[in-house]
Amino acid sequence: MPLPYINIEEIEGSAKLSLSREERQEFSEELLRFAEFANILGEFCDSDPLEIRREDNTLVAREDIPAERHCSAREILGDERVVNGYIRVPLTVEEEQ
Amino acid sequence: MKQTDILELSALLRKKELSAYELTLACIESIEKSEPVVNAFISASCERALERAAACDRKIKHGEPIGLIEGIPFAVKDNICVEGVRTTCGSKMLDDFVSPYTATAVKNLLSEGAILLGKTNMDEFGMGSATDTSCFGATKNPLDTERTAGGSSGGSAAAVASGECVFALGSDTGGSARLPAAFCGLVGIKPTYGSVSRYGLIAFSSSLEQICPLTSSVKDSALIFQILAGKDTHDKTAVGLNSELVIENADIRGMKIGLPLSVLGQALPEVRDCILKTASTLESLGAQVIEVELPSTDMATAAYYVISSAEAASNLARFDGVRYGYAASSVTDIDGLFTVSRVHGFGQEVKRRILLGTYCLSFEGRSSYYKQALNAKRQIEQAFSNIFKECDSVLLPVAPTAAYRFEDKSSQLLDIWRQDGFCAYASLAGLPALTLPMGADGNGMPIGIQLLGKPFSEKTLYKTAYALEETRCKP
Repeated sequence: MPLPYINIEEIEGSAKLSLSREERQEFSEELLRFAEFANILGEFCDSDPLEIRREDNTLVAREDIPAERHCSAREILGDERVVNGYIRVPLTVEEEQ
Repeated sequence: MKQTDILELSALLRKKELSAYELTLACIESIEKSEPVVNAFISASCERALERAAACDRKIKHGEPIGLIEGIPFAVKDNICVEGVRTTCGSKMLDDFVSPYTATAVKNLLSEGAILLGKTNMDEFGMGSATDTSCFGATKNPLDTERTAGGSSGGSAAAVASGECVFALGSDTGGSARLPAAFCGLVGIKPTYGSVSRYGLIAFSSSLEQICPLTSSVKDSALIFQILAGKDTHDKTAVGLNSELVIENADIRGMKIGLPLSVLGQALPEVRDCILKTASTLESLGAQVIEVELPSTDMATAAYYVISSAEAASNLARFDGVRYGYAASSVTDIDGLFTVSRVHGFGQEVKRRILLGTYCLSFEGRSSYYKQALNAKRQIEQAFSNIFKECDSVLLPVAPTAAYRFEDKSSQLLDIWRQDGFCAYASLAGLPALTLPMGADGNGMPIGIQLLGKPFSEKTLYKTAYALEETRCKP
């Protein structure tokens, strides 16, 4: 799995912390190293790769799914709906209900 | 004070061959002698302890009903609340926090006549495995003061090992009681999640942690566990499903013990040898040792750090300078109060875990790590569930090494965290895990083994551990 982009300033804001430049550098590196190590979880675990969630009247699903899955959201829903790695499917009125 | 069993001391107290006052005074003398080096205690309440000891003696003298552990001095990890007593969690954040109530576990011990000597040192908020992240300085191992006592309950373990108290309470989230017990040559148990009330335990990772007894023998541990365990209306997860604990004999013939050989490679050769020798001892006692498979220790470690850090980030959000503890001065707005109080109140390890936890709960981290960690937790639970269809317990090391020198502690965070792999299994699966010393390394430091059992099978673990302890005591 590719390493994530970690925005340390955003995280420290959410955590109500304020780091020095040195701390920010140190914690960023540690977070990345841990993220690399914790990728082992993805190797062993059968997570829900589609991770479908609902945003207002739209279903949103990730397109990047592990290879062992039979098919991807992209295959099901088509390339044209992929935006920045996420597939957005507007719901009909019936589906919303 | 020489390490002596609770049962033995209780018998002496009842026969009036020893007074609670003398016993408490002996502990206080040990505290005065050891503390300048060992640093096991954050605060000691010696005068109050002596007053209570005198009251115990009066009860015994007048033939009044007495508790199971009447007159026995004990210590409590400083993340467990006692009314009117400072409770710091080893943190500047709670440096002046005085608890307004008493934890159920402590209340149970006090109602059986135990005497509280004080509160023990710990890694800040339980985050660490060497009791060196405390803002009150590191705790040293009484068996070799150049070495760590383990953590995060290192103060409790060191206090018992140095004779500063007869037993102590610690807490265990990912090995925080088992590791210090193993490093200091004691018996420790992380009970099944739900055996002991967590009411009054300042939360670090609510879904994993339990309050644990640290003692010098298996029978003492069983006695204290029995007093601690039970339902509590203040903690709905404390379900009181344990049967009465009486260790009648050390007969473990026919028991089946699982041995996950594939994960032993993570331990140093002398730890592996200790485990294999223990397996042979179990066989010689009539148990059957069966090879079993477990998910890797790295998987357990990763899942443990993701889940515990996520819960820590959430639990520690309450420490913001408003209601509890340290509050920054000279700030002009509320956001500044929150941030500056937390920046100055928390140490580096706590900040590290909060940042990791916050990331794991962010949109990106939740899907990449948190949900997968929960899946890994379920896989580990399932793996043990399958093993326990065939086995009564599982034998594992507590740590890859015995107690190490402070100067030999790795500078690499992942190397430090990976040492928790063997302990993370029981924490993630909510299983009981008992540790006892079964060997020593080349430096004479104790090596602990741990026995994991089915949920609420503490009785089986104590019986097996007692059988092992009996063999260890023989020449």
